[in-house]
Amino acid sequence: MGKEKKDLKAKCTDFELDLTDYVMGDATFLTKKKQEALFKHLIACKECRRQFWSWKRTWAVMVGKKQSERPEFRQKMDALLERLKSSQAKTTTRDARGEIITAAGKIYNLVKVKGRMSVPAIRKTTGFVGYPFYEAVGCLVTDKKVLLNKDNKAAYDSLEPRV
Amino acid sequence: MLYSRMPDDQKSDESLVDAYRKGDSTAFDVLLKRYEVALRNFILSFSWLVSPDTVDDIIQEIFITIFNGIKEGGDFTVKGGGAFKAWLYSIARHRCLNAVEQQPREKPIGKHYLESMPAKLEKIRYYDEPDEAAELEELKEGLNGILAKLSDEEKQLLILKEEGKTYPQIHKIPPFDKYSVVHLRRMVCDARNFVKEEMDKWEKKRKI
Repeated sequence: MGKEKKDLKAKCTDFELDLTDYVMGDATFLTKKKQEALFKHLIACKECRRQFWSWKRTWAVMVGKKQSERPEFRQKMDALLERLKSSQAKTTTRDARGEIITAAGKIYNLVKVKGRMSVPAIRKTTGFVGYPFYEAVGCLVTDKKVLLNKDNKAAYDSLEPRV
Repeated sequence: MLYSRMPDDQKSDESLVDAYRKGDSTAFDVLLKRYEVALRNFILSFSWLVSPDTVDDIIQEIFITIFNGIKEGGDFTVKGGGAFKAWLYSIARHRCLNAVEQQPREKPIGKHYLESMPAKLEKIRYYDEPDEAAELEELKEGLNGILAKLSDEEKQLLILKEEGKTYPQIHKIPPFDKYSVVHLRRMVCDARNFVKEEMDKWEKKRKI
């Protein structure tokens, strides 16, 4: 072993306590000068670096376990899940609105071209069964885009565009 | 066992993402619970200067990013699997580096200021440990058994250190008031050395 390597090895044990304290985040004994010396040694010594990273990982797992057991962390994560779920629900609502608007557009264009049409004929032509047909018709009537004719006492019997 | 009947916690990440996209809202809960602690360990291995509350915030931000990525149909599936985890940790690494940059360079702890690691040392870390996340996950398996072998006093001492207590603070707590602050420091270092030696043995056994 060369003199330089021997010196480095001798120094390793000198840094044992400082290395432990630094990773654990206690500066009671760690002056600025001591920390600078520790960094300098770590940059030069691969074996101490290996120990440093290893202890850093071990300590992270130990502290992480402790912190994760805090009730407030569980509460935060549960609240986050609720928030994400409600944001997902909002997206679904937005998607549904898009579907209804698209269906309404198709129905309106159809009756605009063909004129008054019976509901079964519209459904047959557009292919809409149930949702989103009635929702779309509801929008068109509310927006006064079409007239709803109650022929033969049946609701939604026929639709015709409003002029 | 039919894959669809497999309990959620045994399913792969990728199949959970797929299930979530198909409308199974509980699949994301499983992913979150699977990684919430691992992410905290990962963040803490980057920096101890961040408070537990800040770590909570970072974890939440990472999950929001993941959630939005899944919702927008981000394609992270690659051959060989494990792609979700790689994606998760790459987001976490990026977020951690930002947090490290934003944190103060020093923090008063105990008698002195604790300094951040110099950039040069941070850089070397990536050459020394290219896949730190994987090593962290493996470490969890061995650590519990090893910590159980410590004496009651050592265990108690490490718990107080985990809570962020400094040596002078611990010195005021019985039964540690009978020891000097310098002796407490030596006790912690010895406990650390014991854990290190046991971990080395465990890793050797695992590799055989």
